[in-house]
Amino acid sequence: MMSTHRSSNLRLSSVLQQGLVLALVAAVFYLLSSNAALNLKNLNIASGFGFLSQRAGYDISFSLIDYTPDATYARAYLVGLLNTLLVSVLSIVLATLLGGALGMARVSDNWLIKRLSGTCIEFLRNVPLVVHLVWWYGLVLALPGVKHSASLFGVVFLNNNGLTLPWLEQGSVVGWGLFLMLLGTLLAYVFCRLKEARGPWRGFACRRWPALLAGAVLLPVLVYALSDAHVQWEVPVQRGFGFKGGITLVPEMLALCLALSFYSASYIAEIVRGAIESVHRGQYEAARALGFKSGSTMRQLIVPQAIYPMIPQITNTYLNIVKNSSLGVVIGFMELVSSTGGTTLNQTGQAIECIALVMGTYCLISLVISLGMNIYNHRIGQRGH
Amino acid sequence: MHKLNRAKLLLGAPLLALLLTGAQAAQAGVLDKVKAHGSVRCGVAGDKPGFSLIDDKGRWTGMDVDLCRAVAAAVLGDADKVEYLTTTAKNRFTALASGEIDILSRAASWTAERIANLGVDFTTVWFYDGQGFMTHAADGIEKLTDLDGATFCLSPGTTSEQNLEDYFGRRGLTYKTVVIEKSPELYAAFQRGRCNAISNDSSGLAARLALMNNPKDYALLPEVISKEPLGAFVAQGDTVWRNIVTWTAYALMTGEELGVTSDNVDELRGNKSASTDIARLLGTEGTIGKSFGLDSDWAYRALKQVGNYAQIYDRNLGQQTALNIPRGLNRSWKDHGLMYAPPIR
Amino acid sequence: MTAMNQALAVPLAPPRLPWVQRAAAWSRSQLFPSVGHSLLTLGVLALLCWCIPAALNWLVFDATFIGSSAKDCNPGGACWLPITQRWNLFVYGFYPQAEQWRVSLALVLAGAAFVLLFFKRLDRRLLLAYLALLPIVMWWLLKGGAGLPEVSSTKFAGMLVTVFLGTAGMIFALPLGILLALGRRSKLPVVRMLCVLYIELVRSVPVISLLFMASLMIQLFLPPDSAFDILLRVQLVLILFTAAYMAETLRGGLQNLPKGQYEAAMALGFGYWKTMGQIILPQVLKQSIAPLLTQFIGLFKETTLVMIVGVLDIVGIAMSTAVAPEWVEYGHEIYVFLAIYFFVICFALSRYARHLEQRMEQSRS
Repeated sequence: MMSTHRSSNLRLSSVLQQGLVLALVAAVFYLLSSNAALNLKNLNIASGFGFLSQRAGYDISFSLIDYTPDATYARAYLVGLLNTLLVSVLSIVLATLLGGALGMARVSDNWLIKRLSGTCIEFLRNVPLVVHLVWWYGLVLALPGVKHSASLFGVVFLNNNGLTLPWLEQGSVVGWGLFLMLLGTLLAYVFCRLKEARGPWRGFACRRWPALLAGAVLLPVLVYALSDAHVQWEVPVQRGFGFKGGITLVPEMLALCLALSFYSASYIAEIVRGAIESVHRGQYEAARALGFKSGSTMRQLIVPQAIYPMIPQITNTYLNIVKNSSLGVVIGFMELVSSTGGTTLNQTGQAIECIALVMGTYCLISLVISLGMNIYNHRIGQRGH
Repeated sequence: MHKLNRAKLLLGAPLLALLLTGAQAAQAGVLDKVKAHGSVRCGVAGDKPGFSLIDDKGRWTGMDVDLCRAVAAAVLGDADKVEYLTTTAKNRFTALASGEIDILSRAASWTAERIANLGVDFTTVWFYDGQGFMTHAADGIEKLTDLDGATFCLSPGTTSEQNLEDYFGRRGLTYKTVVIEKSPELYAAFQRGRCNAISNDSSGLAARLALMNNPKDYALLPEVISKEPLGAFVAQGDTVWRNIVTWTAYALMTGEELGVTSDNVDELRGNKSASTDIARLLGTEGTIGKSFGLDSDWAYRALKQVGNYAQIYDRNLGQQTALNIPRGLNRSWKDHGLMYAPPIR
Repeated sequence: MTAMNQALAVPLAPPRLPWVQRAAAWSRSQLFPSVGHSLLTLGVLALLCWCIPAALNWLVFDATFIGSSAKDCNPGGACWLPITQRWNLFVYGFYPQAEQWRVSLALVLAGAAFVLLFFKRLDRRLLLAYLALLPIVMWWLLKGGAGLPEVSSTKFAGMLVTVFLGTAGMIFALPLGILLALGRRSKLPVVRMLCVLYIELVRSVPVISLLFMASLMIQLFLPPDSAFDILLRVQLVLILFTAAYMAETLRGGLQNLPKGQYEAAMALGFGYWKTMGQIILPQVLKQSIAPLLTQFIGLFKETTLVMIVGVLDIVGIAMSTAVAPEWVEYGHEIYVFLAIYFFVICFALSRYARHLEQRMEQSRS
């Protein structure tokens, strides 16, 4: 009797507490939104997302899809989003390579390499990203002009106007190609799982990575061979002060990619170092007893064991790269925040809608990446690591 | 030249007619607001040497600044009763239309689109300019068409973008643009090599060239591809205020024409044998000032405290300054320039 | 007897070799263990011998430190004049000359907070009181009011802004972060959900979008005609942002605390808040000093972003110097200065944090 009385008291007090909290939050929301409605009316600012179908009126220096100032704000948003994703992917790849190399150097047997990479990592990490960015932008702008470009095989040109690469004549072909590569990878994966499910001793076990790669390459090639599509590569040709044809990655984008890569590489290097050092000392001794050489010890034994604990932290770093790509606004690169959160917002005045759009997009990207990481973690955990 | 003079007369005549029919029956307008506020709110650029610039000690100088000072002297009696608000190319017209500023004296061009769409009125041309280009001397560019495929640095919301599109489009040439809002960053981007050429009003380019460390590394192109009549704007609909600003400018030009300077204005005012034109200008004859809603000493104060157009030009853009822009079209009509003020009578 | 002594005798340590032989042995094992490594070492040494003297020449020996304008700059070396000429602007911003002693005092007080963390035997209450009073005293010193002449916050710029935003941000974010961390572990589902929502939302968006929110959106949510300084709005956003990350840091600490502490408190009859206030939190905070210091380093670096919304911190001043017509050609020197400035401060703080952490581990074991 006493206990039910006490527990019902507790339940009542907890319900009261929660009710109080909810009421407080609701009151704050009401106050804020009524103020907002009043202010918006006074300043004659429109509400709602109708502005997305209006003419944008501003130019974007780099865009993967066709874009002119006559396009809508919605298209400007899409261009910004694609730019963000492109910069993020390029930076992630470069940062992983650099960070991996630095991390391995940090645990090297060579004292000089170890100390030098340690100093590099400390320097890259302690300087804020904004300073990295303006530093790299200054370097990129100091490259020689278009007429004295550095060129690779005569098809890739680097100058202070950016990096000019050959590109496909119809841009949409790239989109289709990427889609088919993804589809090929997925089909290869399904094929492998089916083969494995029929029992590990029936036929050969499907080696994952080569199969996925084969799928990614074969499917687009197959579709291209069977269909009528004609793929024409455009090689950039210098004309006056610019290039005709090809695609030019503007210096702002190059600076952003380089700054993000080097900054994040320092974090990835530390993660790699921590993971390798966390592998039990006994593994090294066992390897030596079995006659492994130092290099192959690292490669075949230590690194695969170190990958699992790295994953959550590296995913966090990748997420930070995506978020930090918003720094394009410092040097005037039109990615998501500077196009929708910057110019579109200034021109339409609809601050709430634009910022909500930007924040919502980033939330979605974070969610997708975290979900992917969780699934991968779950899978690896299931395999009994 | 004759066509322009006729245009000026055509503009002057209706204004005079308006005055003589006593169009000062307007409601409480900007004039009353200025008198109540005690100072003229002047929208300026703030970073344009020769036109509107604030130095380290907080002093404002420039052609645009002097026009506002002349208006303040004419209306409030003291040329220093001006509040300067910096505006950017993007927000300058909205600030004027919303009443945040009384005069937009920011070297803005007089175009039909602005008069029709932005809720503002033009006063009179204060400086005849045109859109010019500056390039790196090392690139060896001699004319504008050499810049096919080049990248241009431009400021947003100005007539430069449209003018460039017209010029290059007509000749089938391509170009890329880099658009930066703030003027110092725009010039810095050009100097660092982000773009091959920068386009701006020739006066602005010359002013910047004068400030650079090594002006020999840069070259101004000969082409001036547009007409940019620069002058002050006021909010639409307030004829009284518009007349005051316009005719203050005309008074300064008339001062040059008649040889009245800030040094001899007192003497000429006291001199009974001065010409009727001078007498009417300085208020010892006629009731022009009252028809504008001001007292009779309006032009006298403006000329005494700020000087005539020639003095203002010399002080800001003359040979003694770092900019040294020749007067060119900005000479008085008597010297075959375009500065022609309608008669003040 | 002697044989037994010999058998039982502790073997003597081998005689220490002269240092030349020790150095040779060390370099053979550390620098030249194998052919591949030897080549690598030689290559890196060659690279360093080539780069470092050239860099030092440019940075120090051929550089210009004294002068008054760009004409005094030696073209072969770095020109540090834009920084030395405008040093006052970098540190004090637009603060009036006569009152700059107030800024120096505020900076010294903020620095003293870090020194205080060093003293183990310092009474916890004293430290908390100092930290609680610090932002108020700093605000009074910088802004003016009771007794001191007022200085408008539009004049705040440079190092002054960075230190102010960092210190006040951290100190105000701490209680909020604690509340969020506790709320996240709460048994009340509504409270837990709200806290999780807030923390996850703030952690998935970039700081810049939050800063844009501060400069453009907050004004719309306040009653009309209430002018809210941009500096304060940015400070508010930085506090809300740091609190979310701090909640995650503290969550780890709260989880790692042995369950016995909670149970002992319950056995003693302590209520929720008493448990937290007197037993759990003091331990968690003490253990989390190093991660919190790391958090501060992160906040210090994040404050460089405020120049995007118009608050001029030291990077903002540096950028406006780099576009001034007089110093446009010397952008590289300005960026190098910024890099060195941040490296020195952040590296020192991170070493300090690691030292505190090691001391904590030693005292525990």
